[in-house]
Amino acid sequence: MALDELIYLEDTTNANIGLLVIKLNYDKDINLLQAVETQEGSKKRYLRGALILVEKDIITSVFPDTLEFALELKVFDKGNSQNKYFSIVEHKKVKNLLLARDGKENIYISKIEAMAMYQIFQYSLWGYSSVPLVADSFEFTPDILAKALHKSGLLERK
Amino acid sequence: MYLFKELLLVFFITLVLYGILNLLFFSKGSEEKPKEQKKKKNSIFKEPEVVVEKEPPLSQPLPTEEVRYWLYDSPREILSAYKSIVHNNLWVNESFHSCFYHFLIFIFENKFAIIDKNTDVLNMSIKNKDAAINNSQAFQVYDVTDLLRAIFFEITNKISSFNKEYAQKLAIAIIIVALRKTLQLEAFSKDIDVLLKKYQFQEDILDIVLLIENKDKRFDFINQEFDDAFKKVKTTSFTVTNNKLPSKISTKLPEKQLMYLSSMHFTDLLFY
Repeated sequence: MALDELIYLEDTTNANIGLLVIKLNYDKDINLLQAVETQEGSKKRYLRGALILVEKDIITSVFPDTLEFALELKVFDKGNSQNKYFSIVEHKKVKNLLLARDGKENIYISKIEAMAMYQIFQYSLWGYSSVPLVADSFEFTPDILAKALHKSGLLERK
Repeated sequence: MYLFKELLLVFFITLVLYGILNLLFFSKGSEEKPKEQKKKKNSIFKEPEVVVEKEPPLSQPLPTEEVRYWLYDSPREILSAYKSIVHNNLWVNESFHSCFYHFLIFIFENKFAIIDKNTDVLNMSIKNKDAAINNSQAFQVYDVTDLLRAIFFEITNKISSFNKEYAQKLAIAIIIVALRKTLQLEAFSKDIDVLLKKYQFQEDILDIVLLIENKDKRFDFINQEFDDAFKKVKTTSFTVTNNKLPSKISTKLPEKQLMYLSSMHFTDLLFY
């Protein structure tokens, strides 16, 4: 999705915040949703939040969690039992990350896929000042997020 | 010679006859002409006025634009549905008027919604400031207020061809059919019953509703209108947080005001 096609959130006071969908992995439908603030009359953009959307599940809703998700991909099998999002499974002596969700199909992520996803996550932060993301992050509510996801067509069956 | 005398005689007789006849006609024409001239002379000064007395019409059309009615001052969102049924047909009789309006405002304020068949439920686990995680489900729905606005806009001509009482029953029945498809039906079933009790023909409504729901051929036009509305009405998002539906809002019927009827515009359907 191009930067011009931001889906602007409703009910945000004094800020134009749009939702940007970045595909981290097409086949496994793992997406990064960025909240981008734009200002009228200026080309500057600020990142105000980042979420992880896997298929039809919002897994992380605040930036620290999203960052954790990305770093777990980076360290891959070197993580420990504190890993909130993945478990490490071994298939034919090859280690994979398992993204398990209740009542849904398991998603296995290979090492290369994890590296690629982390790389894209890093690219997505380039060019932005990190201060608004950390100090002034936007707090999503279920209603605001649902409206934006509806506008972007993510609530429709494909 | 004798023949010549006879011919002369006939000639004289015809001459005399011609003279007499000519005198007679000329005298009549000369008598009439001066009379006409006299009349013309009079008409120069005084033109006789032609006064055609019209009989007063037995009934006069009601100047509906100048008459004020006791109407509800409705919010813009439900104004279009209210206009198409109450304003257009002048159905201001009770108990239909109040019951119909109360249903509209009840549906609007409680944001009744019908699930879109083409939606996927999206699960969201969202952390708030207190680090508490809210598990919410988001899906695509039709807003019943939007749906009814589209249905009543299209159907008002069709149902107003029935007699007034029956047509009004159909209008209430359409609302109940829509409500019975909603997500909130279980939570609000008692409130719906209470509202319906205010309508004097409430017993007939359920029969009509069941016939519509069972696809009775007589009500095909209503089912068709529902299908069309589902195709063209815009969808919105709906969230259920921690398995709780949004809380109830008790609606009160406002007081009626003396108002002019406003005409229906197509733009009412598009913008509100």
